[in-house]
Amino acid sequence: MANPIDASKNAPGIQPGSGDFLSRTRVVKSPWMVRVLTFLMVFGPGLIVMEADNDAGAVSTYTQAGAQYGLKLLWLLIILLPVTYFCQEMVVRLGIATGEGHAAMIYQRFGKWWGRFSLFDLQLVNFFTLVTEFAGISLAFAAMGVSPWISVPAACAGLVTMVTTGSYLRWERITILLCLLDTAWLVLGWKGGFGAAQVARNGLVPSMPDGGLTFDYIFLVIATVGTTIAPWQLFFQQSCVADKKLRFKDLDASRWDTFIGAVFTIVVAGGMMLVGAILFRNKVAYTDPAQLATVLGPHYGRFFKSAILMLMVNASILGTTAVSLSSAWAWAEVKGWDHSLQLKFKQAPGFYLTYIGATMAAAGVVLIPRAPLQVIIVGVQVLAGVMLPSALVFLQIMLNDKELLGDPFVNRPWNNRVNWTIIALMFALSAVLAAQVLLPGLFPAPAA
Amino acid sequence: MTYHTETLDHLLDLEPLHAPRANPGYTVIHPLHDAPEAKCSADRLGPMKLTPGCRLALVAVRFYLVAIMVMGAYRVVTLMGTIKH
Repeated sequence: MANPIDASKNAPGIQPGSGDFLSRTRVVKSPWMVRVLTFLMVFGPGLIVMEADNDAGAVSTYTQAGAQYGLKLLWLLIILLPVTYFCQEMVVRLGIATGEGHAAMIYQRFGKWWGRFSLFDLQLVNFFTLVTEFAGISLAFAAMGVSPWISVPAACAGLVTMVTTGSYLRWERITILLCLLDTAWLVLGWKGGFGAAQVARNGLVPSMPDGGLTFDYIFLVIATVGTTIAPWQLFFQQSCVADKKLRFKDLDASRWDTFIGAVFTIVVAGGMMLVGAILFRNKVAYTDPAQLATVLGPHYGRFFKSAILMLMVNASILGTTAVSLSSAWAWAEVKGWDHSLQLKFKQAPGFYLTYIGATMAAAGVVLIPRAPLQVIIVGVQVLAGVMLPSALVFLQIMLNDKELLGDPFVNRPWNNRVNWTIIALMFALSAVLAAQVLLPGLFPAPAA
Repeated sequence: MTYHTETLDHLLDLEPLHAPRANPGYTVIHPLHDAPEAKCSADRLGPMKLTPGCRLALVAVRFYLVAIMVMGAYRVVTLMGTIKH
């Protein structure tokens, strides 16, 4: 390993002995308490990166999947669990080993051309994603009778306040709480009355819908895969791990954090599908999540409708904070600015202004009358499809960089076999999705 | 470090660092409060040495990106009505 990185630059730190229950330095008597406390201290980035991916777009995709095909796509979520875990575990390893963010590593190891490509594409796809998040907030609050001119600026102000407190732990704990609120999807899904045996069978046994294999089905499968694994996640978690100053000895705890996050996210996604499946069972057409809430409200009560709408808002808030931070961290890393949530605004103005600027600009686009939101939503799909395979290739190559990482952190041969398989699959699916958007004439028209 | 028998009292006995202790234990420090450790750094490594497989992967990425751009350009051109079907 080369000379140590000057970690004090980005985190002046808190004096040992101060802090709350989970951040105060402690002496414990048993090795297992060491493991438990270490895990609790490390826990956070994995859950956040996974659950923040259940954003506005995910709510739309998963509820649509349930509304169109009932429980027939639950098995896909189970398959995606190890895929998303393997991708994010590599990110964790790279972040802990280097203490640097993903964008900075691409610049350092692949050169300026690939670095600029990755950074530019990340910023663009993230910005469009932020627009869709604020569109989700606007849609949900409009269904509750709140004007977008109130809901969108209020959400923007809340998101800026949440991040600019100068405390990584404060931001992390608020975000973890928001993640845990998503367990309400399980309650809503349970209220749909699907039996546990039926859910388990559809989750574990792949099945085809009654209409067989159609292009609509294939594209929804691809959209589901694309929703579950997003390029910003690679950048976010590595930067988050670096900002939290996770150590080599934290690797195991961080892997557990990531695994628990993956399981939690897949389970919540399943809950979203169950809620959408209520429409399928009652043969009601699906338009969007707000319409879903409005249709189900009279049958399941006002709480049900309000819960879906508030969970849409929660999903958008989670998505916005994570995506904006991935942009801010990446930009600041490459520019060489100070970039840590532990720093006050005055200590890292470039970093915070990037976050604030991205958030406010996206909120502003949503408020433009007749803004081309549908074009933006489609654009997100294409750009994510462009970026994800290349981001995975960079990640995979860097995790085989023995000269940089040394033996402890590089991929094992079985890692490489699994990861290259995942990457090849992502290439194929992303190409089909991009082709479906850019060359629609090649494919049969969607069913009416 | 002394390893104590794990009774229920001992398991729940969490003491702050500054409290005087009769017996030593294991110190657990939050990552944000710990001393910085030496990380793997690419500062003095120069360009990454790529294996043939890695070069092939990057070539595949380039071809993929070109294909996407061609599809995108074709879509823009057809939308503009320059190419009619």
